[in-house]
Amino acid sequence: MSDLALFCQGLVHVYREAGTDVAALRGVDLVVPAAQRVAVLGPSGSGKSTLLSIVAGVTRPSAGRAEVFGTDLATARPADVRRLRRGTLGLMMQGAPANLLAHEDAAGNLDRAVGGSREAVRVGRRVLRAGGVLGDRRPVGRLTPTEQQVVALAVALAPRPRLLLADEPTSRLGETARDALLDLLVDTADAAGTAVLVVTHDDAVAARMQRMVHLRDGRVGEEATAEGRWSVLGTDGSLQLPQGLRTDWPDGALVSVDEVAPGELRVRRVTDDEGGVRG
Amino acid sequence: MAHRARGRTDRVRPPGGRAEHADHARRGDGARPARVRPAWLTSVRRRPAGAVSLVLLSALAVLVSVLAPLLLRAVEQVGLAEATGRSHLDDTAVVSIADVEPGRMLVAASDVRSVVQSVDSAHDAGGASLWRAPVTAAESGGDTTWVSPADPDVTGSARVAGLYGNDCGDVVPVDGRCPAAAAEVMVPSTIEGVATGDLLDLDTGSSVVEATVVGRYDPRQGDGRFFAAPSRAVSVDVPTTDDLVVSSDGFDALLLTSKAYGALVLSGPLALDDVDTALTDVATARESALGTAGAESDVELRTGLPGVLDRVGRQGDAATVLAAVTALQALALAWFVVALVVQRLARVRSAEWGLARLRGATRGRWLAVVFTEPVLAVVVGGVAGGSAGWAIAAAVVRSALGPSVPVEPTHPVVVASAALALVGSVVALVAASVRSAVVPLDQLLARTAEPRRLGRLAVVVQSGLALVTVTVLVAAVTQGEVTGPGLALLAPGLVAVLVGVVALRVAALAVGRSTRRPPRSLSSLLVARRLGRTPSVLTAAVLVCVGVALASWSTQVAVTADRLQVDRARASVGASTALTVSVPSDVPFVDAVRAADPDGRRAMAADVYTRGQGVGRLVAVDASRLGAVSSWSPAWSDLGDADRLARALAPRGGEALTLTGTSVSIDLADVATTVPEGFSAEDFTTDLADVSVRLVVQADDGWHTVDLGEPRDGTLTSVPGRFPCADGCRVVWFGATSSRATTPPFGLRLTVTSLSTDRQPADELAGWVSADRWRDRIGDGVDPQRPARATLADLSDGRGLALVLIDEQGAGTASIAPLDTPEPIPALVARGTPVTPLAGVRDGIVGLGPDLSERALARVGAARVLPRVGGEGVLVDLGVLDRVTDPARSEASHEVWLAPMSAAEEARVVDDLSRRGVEVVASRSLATVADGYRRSETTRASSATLVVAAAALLLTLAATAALRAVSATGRREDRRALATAGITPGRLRRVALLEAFLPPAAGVVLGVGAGLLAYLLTVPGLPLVVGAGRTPPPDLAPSAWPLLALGVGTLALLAGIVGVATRLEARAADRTVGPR
Repeated sequence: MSDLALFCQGLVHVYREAGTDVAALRGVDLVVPAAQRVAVLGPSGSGKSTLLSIVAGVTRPSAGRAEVFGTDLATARPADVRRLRRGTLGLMMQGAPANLLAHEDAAGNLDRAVGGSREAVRVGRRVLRAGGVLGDRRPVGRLTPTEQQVVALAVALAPRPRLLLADEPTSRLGETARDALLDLLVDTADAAGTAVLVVTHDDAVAARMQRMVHLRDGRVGEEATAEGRWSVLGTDGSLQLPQGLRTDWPDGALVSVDEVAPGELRVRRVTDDEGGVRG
Repeated sequence: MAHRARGRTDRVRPPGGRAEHADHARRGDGARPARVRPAWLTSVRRRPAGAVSLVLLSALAVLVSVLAPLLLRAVEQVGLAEATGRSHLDDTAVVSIADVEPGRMLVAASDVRSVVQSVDSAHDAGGASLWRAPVTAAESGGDTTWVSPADPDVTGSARVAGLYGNDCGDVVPVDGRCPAAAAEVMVPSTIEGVATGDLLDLDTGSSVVEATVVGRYDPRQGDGRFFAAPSRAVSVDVPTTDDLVVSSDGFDALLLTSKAYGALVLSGPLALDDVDTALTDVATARESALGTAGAESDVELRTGLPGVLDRVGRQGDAATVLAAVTALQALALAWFVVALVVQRLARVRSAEWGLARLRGATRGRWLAVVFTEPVLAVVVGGVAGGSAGWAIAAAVVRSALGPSVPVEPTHPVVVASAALALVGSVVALVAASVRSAVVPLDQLLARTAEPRRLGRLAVVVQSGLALVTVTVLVAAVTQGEVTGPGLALLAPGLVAVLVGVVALRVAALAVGRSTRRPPRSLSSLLVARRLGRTPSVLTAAVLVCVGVALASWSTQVAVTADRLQVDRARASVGASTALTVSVPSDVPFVDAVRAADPDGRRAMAADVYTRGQGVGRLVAVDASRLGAVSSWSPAWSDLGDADRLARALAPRGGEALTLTGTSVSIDLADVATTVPEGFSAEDFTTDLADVSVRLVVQADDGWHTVDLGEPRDGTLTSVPGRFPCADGCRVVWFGATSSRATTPPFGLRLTVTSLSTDRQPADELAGWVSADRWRDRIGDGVDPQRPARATLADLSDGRGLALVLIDEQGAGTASIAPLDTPEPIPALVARGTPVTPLAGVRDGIVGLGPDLSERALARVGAARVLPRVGGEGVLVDLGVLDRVTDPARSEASHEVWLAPMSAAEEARVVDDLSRRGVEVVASRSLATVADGYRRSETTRASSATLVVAAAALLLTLAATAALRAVSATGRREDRRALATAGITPGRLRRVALLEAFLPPAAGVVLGVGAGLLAYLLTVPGLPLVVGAGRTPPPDLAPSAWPLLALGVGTLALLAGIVGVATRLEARAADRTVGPR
């Protein structure tokens, strides 16, 4: 089995809405090594949730490859996808109802998620204990949003997945709770060697990941790590401007690209005077 | 990373600080890990609405499915028991008969015994018998006179029954013992003056034998009934007194011509499961009768049992049809209900089920998540429903049919029905769950499990249903009577579905349109918004529509079935109460009754003769009071109303001629013989000495014939004492008849010049000497050729009334009668009456008077059924009849019919009658007879289906509540959002009430209409009255009050349920966000 937790190449997803084809992903290339924590950022409609849905095996991509530990979700059989979800993937979708049984308490949810695995229960209970909800017999529907997210995290991490997919895990939380939950997530994932792919709007969340991937218009625009920020060259040769420049350089602006040295390009915005070609 | 240095903690701090910590500690924070229960158990405990709803609905589904067969079996069982358990010897006995030669009784008795014993032998080999031990006896063909030598006044006559040997069967003599020797006799205990030990001389006509009375038997108990008259077992030549019983030796010694009877009598009422055995036994006996022994004595086998069972079977089939109609639809409704509730539950839980798939649960685990709880609920509900059905059926049967009627919960039909309901519920559950269970995960994550519009599949299914409905209804309307559980049985449900589906579509369109218009009010906006977002809730209205339609249809059918039986009783009894009375010969019956009830609204005289056939079955009523008093409706005749019928039966006639005095005189002139047309004077001669002039008058005590002697010129005067008219007599007729025993024909011409009595001079009666006050009388000469006739004419000089009186054949009466009486007698004829037309008379038929003489009748109309005589016979006016026939010679029984009245009023009328000499002998009430008719299986079955329909209605209401309960979560969130938006709790409550009440309320109204429509379409084909002979025209008009009561009652119940449900829902929403 591959050591890559996720390998996406030329990932395209088109869906139909109101009679029109909409391209949610337009050729995403993304590689996530095992045990790496990655945040996927981007504006609404950039394709973050679609990417997560494909990686979770919920949505089948229109084209390209999306391999999770070597299993290509574009061509995998339903049984393989089920097996992947059962043992390899941990899912923490947006909102408690998507992750939890509202009528069950935290322990019940944990038990329903992991079956009879003692180790999984131990991991889950550790998360619950850390979140302060261990032994809470209230149905999770009556817990606070923070507590619900803790339970959801415990349920997602308990089976010790090799890749945790989390969609806006802190969207309903305050700062303190958010940070506490992120601590839990990071600690547990690191301890278990779990790769994490978090979709978020929140820079604070992204900052807790080892790597940030920005999606824009269905493509990976740029990446950032502790070492720096980089734009990503698309499979079609396209290159997205750094986010900071987008506000200054409007759509349709003319640029000149010159190779100033081997391996070094200069991109310069053409002024209106220079752009006489447009008339 | 800066974040790491900033926010790392070991645990999430729960919001709320110390207090929250304490709260958690109370709840077990940090305590030992919670024991994890099975998922379904936690689900049931934490959100009981779904499971409880399914248990309840499944219970009701099985309940309605078992109620029908349980009740139907009980109804059939009691019907069979009543038909086969009436008496010791009736149509159900199997009787072998053989002629007995004098002195050889034992041979024939042995042969008939072997025939009936063949059945008993068959059972000896195979188990318990349905029959009592066979009993055998011979019975003389005629009476034997007996007399006590000690007291010649103690005497009588009776037939003699001979025992088989000295086998007395199960008879335990009242005293003494059974006869064993030739000179011993056992007498019935009903004979007075004879005791055990007495001697009796038995005179057979050819010999006298002295016998000792060795015992007395009870002719009403056990085999005593058989020995009292063996021939009674076959209903032939039934003796009026109970038999003397002797041993076979004694019987042979009497040398009587007799028959031997072997009887097999049912040991008790037959059970349904015994019917086949009983028929097999009859076949065995029949086969045995054709065997060697039977053939030697020419044994004949008679039994009415197959006929009785056939009649019961036809009743049972009809009852089954009626019960099946309701049961099948209730069952379909139950499945519909379960499917609908499960569908709603599935939509609510689809995300939860999807969660298992999202986590990659194995198929088995996923199936367990989806189906464990609902299947368990359905099964538990099924068991509970079966038990409840049993209990309810037992209670209903016990109270309505009696404690001895068995309820058979383990009967295969009941078990199969329960299993069918249960399996159907599970299938409905699976079918309704599957769609929500396999909703694509991306849709679930987008939280779009609840369709925003009615699906295409629903459109196809509903269109198909509508098409099937129309087809089936056309078939139901055109196929006539429903003889089996055919397609038409589904008519009520189908009509309701059709109406409901159309209404659903219209409502969905209307709601959709209303949401696009500016709202009239906030409440209407909110209600329309909710319905528009979840149009599938309108399907619940279809459910209610079907349930109410079924209930209203069943109610109408039950009411009509009951009404038809009451109508049968009304025709059968004739009045609310029919008193059989004795009337002294000198009391004018009609006048006495009229005097007892001067108003003419409470009592009416009637004469009834039902022993004849065809026109011989006669009911004569006081037609002027018929409409007011009788329970028989003139509308059942083609004359329509009572007044018209009264005018037709008793047309206004001329004045009656009343003579008062002690002698009457008639002056004749121009008396001469005459020859009828077509005869010559040589061929037709008349000797006036052979002719007698007669006047017949009617006094209170009947008719009196006044013989005035042979016709001659001059005054003819009555013989003293033969004109008993001191108080006045009505002249019935005046004419001539042959006075010789040889009754030669005659032809006579004469002129009546005056008429007088010793109190009425001729001048006073001069007006009657006129042709326009008399008519030719038909009398009892109903020969269309009219061989005896009279011709009337006024003499031109005004001297008198010229008559030609001719009897071409003799033995007749040529007469004239005053115009006060119509002739032929106007009669209303039952349509099933075979009639002989009377040629030459328009609408004339040959009838019989109550004196059994032939009378000419004029058919004024026809009726499907007549009071007391049913579908065969005639109805005439009693007053007219009494003027045309001699009441004193009437064979009819007198009855006084009473209109509905209080007991005190009835007693007053009876007292009045008694004062006038009219004494009540017996009484028969409409209520009693109607109760008897109501015991027919069809009526009982249609009543029993009310229980099933009520359960079905309850089911729909429970489903309405269940649908509300299982989808409460979404509305709670809505409610909170609306409350946050500033909408007041009061308005929210009103909106919730409207939203919950309006769709099912519309379903109730539509259901009442659909049930009514289905009733109108199907009732002509339903077998509501089976095998009851001719019945009154069925009044199939729907009954408004039951419909209204059902509709209003259901709406009230619905309002109550909705009110409680919304209040609870509001309370729960205000409290917290509960689990689903």
